[in-house]
Amino acid sequence: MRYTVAVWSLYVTLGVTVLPVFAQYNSHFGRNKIQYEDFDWNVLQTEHFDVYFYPEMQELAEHGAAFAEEAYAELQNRFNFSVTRRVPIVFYSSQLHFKQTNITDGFIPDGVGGFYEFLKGRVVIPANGNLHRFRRVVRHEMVHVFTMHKIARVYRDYRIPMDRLPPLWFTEGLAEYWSGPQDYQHEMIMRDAIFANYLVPLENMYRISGSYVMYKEGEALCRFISENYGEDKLLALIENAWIDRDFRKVIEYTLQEDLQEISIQWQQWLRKTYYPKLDAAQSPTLLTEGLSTEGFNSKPAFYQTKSGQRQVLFTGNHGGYSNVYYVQVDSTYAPIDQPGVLIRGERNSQFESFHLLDSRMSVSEDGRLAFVTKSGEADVIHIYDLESGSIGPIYGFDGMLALYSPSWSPDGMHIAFVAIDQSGFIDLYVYDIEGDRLRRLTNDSYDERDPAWSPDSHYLVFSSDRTSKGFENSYNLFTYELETGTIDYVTYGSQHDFSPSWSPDGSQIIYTSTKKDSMGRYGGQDLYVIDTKPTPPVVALADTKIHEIRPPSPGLRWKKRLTELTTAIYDPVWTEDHQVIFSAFENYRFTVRALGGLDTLLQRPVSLHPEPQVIEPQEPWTFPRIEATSETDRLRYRRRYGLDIAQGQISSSAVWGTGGAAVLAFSDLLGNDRFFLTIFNTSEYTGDFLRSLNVNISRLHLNRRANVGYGVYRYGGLRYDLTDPDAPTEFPRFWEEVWGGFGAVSYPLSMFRRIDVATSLSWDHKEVPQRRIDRQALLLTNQISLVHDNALFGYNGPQDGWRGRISAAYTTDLLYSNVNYITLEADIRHYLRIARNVTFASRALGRMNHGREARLWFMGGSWDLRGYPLFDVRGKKAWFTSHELRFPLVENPSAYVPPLAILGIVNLRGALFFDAAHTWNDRYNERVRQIYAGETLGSTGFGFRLNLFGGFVLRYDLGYRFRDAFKSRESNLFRQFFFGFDF
Amino acid sequence: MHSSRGNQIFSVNSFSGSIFRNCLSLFLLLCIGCGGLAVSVDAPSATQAEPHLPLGIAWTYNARAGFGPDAPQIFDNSVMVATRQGIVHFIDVVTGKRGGNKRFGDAINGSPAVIGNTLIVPLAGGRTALAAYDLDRADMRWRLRGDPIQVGVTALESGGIYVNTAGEVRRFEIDDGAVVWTHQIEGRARVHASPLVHHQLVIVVIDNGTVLALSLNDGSQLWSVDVGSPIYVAPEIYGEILLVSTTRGSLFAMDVQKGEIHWNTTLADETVQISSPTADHELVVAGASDGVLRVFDLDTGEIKWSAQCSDALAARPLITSEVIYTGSMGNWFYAFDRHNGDLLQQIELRGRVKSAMALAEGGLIILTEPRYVVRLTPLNTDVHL
Repeated sequence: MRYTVAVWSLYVTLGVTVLPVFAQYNSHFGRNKIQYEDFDWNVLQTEHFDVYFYPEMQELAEHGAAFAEEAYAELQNRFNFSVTRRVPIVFYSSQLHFKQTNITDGFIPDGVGGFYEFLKGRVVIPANGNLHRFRRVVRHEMVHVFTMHKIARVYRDYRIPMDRLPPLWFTEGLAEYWSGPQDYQHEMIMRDAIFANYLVPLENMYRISGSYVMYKEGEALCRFISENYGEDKLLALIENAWIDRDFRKVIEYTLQEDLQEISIQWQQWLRKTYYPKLDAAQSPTLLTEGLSTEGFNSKPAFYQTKSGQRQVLFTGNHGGYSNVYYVQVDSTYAPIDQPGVLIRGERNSQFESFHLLDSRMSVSEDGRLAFVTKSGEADVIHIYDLESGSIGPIYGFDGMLALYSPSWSPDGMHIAFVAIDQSGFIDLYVYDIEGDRLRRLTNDSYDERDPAWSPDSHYLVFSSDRTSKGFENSYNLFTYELETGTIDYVTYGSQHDFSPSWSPDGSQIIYTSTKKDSMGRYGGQDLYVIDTKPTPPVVALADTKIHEIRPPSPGLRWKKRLTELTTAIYDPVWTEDHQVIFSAFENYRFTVRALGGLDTLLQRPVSLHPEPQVIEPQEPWTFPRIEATSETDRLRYRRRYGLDIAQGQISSSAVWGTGGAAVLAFSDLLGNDRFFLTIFNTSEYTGDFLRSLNVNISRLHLNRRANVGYGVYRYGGLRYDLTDPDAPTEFPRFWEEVWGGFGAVSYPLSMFRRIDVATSLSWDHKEVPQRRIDRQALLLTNQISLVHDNALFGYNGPQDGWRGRISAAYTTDLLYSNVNYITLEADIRHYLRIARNVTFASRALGRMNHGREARLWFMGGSWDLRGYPLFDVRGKKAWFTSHELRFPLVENPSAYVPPLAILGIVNLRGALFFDAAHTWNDRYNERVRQIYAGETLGSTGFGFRLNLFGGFVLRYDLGYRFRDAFKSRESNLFRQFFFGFDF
Repeated sequence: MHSSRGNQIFSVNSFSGSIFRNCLSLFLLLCIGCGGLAVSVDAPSATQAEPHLPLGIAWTYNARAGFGPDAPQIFDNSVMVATRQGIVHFIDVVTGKRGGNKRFGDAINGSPAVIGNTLIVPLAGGRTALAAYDLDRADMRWRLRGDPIQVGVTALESGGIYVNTAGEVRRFEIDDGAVVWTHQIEGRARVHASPLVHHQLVIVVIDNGTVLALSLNDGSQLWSVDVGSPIYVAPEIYGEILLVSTTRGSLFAMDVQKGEIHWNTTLADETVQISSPTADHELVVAGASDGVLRVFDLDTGEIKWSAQCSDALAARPLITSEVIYTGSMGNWFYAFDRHNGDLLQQIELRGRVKSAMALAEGGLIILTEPRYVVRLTPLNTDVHL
């Protein structure tokens, strides 16, 4: 998370230099959110919005501004409401730029179409090359804007605090429902949910909160309410939100029906809608052979090696990192073995992430696999030689951000692909490998997808919304004649034709298609085959920018529908053996499958359709724009700071007295520039107030690759410091006052690795009356760290990968030489995933403070040396090792006992652990009993981990403690309770 | 001229005529600090003086919570508003100072009614549905338990009419809240607007698109009309014409005695929600969620003129002899020339206007979000009474 990188890297690192007691909590890790681009932000001001964009994507931003105003006008009617504040909308031209945003601190995974941030009311949306989807996401987020403003209004009217919101299924479902008609993905999910019987009833919707199914079920519920109770009831649900904290009661009040009854009616309504469609439909499971059915599997490719082995290659995720997999099949395409990992992804910057749902792979005739990964600031095409098993060259292109679906030419000298450039539009390209030349084939705002090279090398077939039906969000297939640059229709109509692939002899094209029925609902996404000859029927192209329009000519081609599925088929590949390999969606999972008997299917297809032959030329289509033409409506971005956090707290303790603290955080609209002000007071009586006033003012710049922070501070008061060597051992409390300033830089080398550098200069005055110490120092501290983290997290902590940190620091007193010590630290943690839910975790840690007034490290507690009280084990030098077998005890217990979900119980896991540690000061075996120094300690036992609400882990360990280098075991079983994630 | 709708007292006055007559003023005898509200109720005059433009903000009163869609009730020198926090406020019209207030515990969404010296308060949440408060003795007279009431109470001579969330239309007695009759609305439809009383008729509009006319005497159904689209806002009666607007861009004019539709008009965009209409001898005026104020001919339904405002118009407009006033969901107050739609004045307010406004003492009383009662008075002239 960004916060991990930026704030902890800077703050905590600097905190070390100021108050070394915190040094050992400096073992923060985390991946890096890198700012590759220095965006030149502009603001387009429309009637209701401030649209933030950068010049390269101005045209797209102008479309987005028009979409937002269009949505506003419609939603103002639906909500009968106006938003009285200007809404900031931040556009990015691609997912890769979107991932760099600082408006949210978290990492943004693939597939996130945008978000609405409540605090400052910001809407953040990336484009993905598809204007229809861009428009829909804008509308979706606008529904959120209206919903949240309306709810805030209702709560303020009734003087109810904003501590309750309608459930996510309702807000997201409403946003989906009011952002446009149901799309084919919605229909696919709902049909599958009914068919596979995993539909979650209304009363249990909380169990799928945040999932993709929840979005679609929420949308279906809103549609059901609208069609059966009236559209106005959706708004009434918002207006009645004040009635009760429990939204189920709000539903019952508004719809005047028992929740259970509503749920039953909804399910009946769904069955009535979808059952007729299921009657004659086929199931991919029954129709085809499964090649890889565990986890997520997509984008298959096929290769027969020179030795005759048939391999099906695909991208997937089997419960951990995403990888490229392979599975060997026999001549009937039955799998010979379990799928294996061909290329390990998501562990290093080379294969940072795959576009699992968007980018196909391709194998050349000589066995070179081309696939795309994100690698740093942009996507690249990797080549992997399947014959030699070696990774080959990497192709990246200046100005190209996202790359999708590379396709080899038959001679293996060219690669066709589609790419999104800085403008945010997607186009078709061909790369000449030998000549190192990139040729752009299209240059417009249409969405091109999935190019495939014909066996005779003359054509590319691809899917696009450049059809004159494209304004209705239809996709048809086209061929691009490489010699002439002519684009011709292959299919034509109001449907979604995707993923074309040639037959081995080039006479036919296999692809997937889905279209609406007479009721306006999309059917299954089926397998189709269309002839490439005779002369294709020609339809005038919507785009007339750079391509000639071939004059209309007669011709006849037949397309054959091969399947009639309940759900969907994706990315078919026609092999030499006349098998079709594809991925299929069924039972809420994507599998890779093979379909045999293709010749029979071609002879006896489900249905046969003639394609329309000649279409009169039609005008190109486009969406409206609000053009930023003058200086008045297009402004340069200027930083204005708004409050992020304002928090105050007063605490009282018999030991520490009464203290108060306040934290203020400000940032600019883009989240790039942040100020923090922290004030707290630890005085024990009035006259001590000023002496005990602590202030820290700092600033972070996050808009560049290197995150920079600096600030000033003043700390003063009584300190309780276990690590201070001057502090009394029994009760280490003393007076200290520190004035100073700090600076820090955190430079990410990659998503997984970074260097942190920090320095501070502070004047320090310490008084320890019990030991008659009164010392002053001008402390200079410099620190450098190298951090690596590619760990994969589960609910309770890391479960795969490794992370480590090595750091060195030097602290010295420039004036009096009272303080002078070095700090060295290494902390390595490795996670070996034995099975899907079983991990063996190991940790090795070495720490050293050496020199004058060197600080003490401490250990103990549930996170370090288990069985020993927190902070009790101390020393200037330490080593520690821990090994733990983590395994599930009860996974998803709420599935068996639903009330547990209300208590937030996500899972119960177990751990068998072994810990060992040794701390010492000057000599390794010199014992200091009060702080357990000078002996090797250990513990072993069993632990329980209870995860609450997915983010809070309760830990309970029990076991035996060992002393004297494991020579003696204490007889009493220790029990230790704490909270926090596994190391 | 006919005053703004939204306060049923005026409707009652128009036919009963005797309840508040001869009363000169409403003044407050608040026992500050004892939690009671003692007032002597005097009726307002049947008509209010019209303001002269330009207007300016005379005072703003913080009522601490939001308001329902009905207009504030005006007495000779006091304004009564009820808030969704459950408090009824009395405010001095001239000074904007608090005259007194009374907390009723649960949210108040519909307009209370004053019958004699009894304040009848409909409560939208909790177990108490109706509370009767004696303004003379500053004491609760009775409470009626039952389903919540989201709409206003319509005052009668010796009682009132209300509709609760269970779809029961009820006439009750003022003395003890005893129910005279109940009419159960069929199905699961709900009423979102206060019932209207016209001579011996009770008019109820339902969100399933039904307009219902009941007998005032026994609650029996006299006629019903299905206008085909949901009705969520209060209707208007002028003379013998009943005006009903819907959430699907339609406005209907019908015979109030028989339910026969004289005319209806539907906008091209049927997602537009029309506000409560207001009418006088020649015009019908309604705002809409598309921000357009439309003025219709009372007899034909033809649009005479329209004016585009910057934001949705959800509040019922107000007609005077020369000016049409409206407020928007974008915090703006507008004054248009009733003859041609020319914009005469606009004022930015502190919040959205979603409640009907009222004439008061030569000025206007406007309820704005989040919690303000605002009085607009002529800027440069004496108040014309």
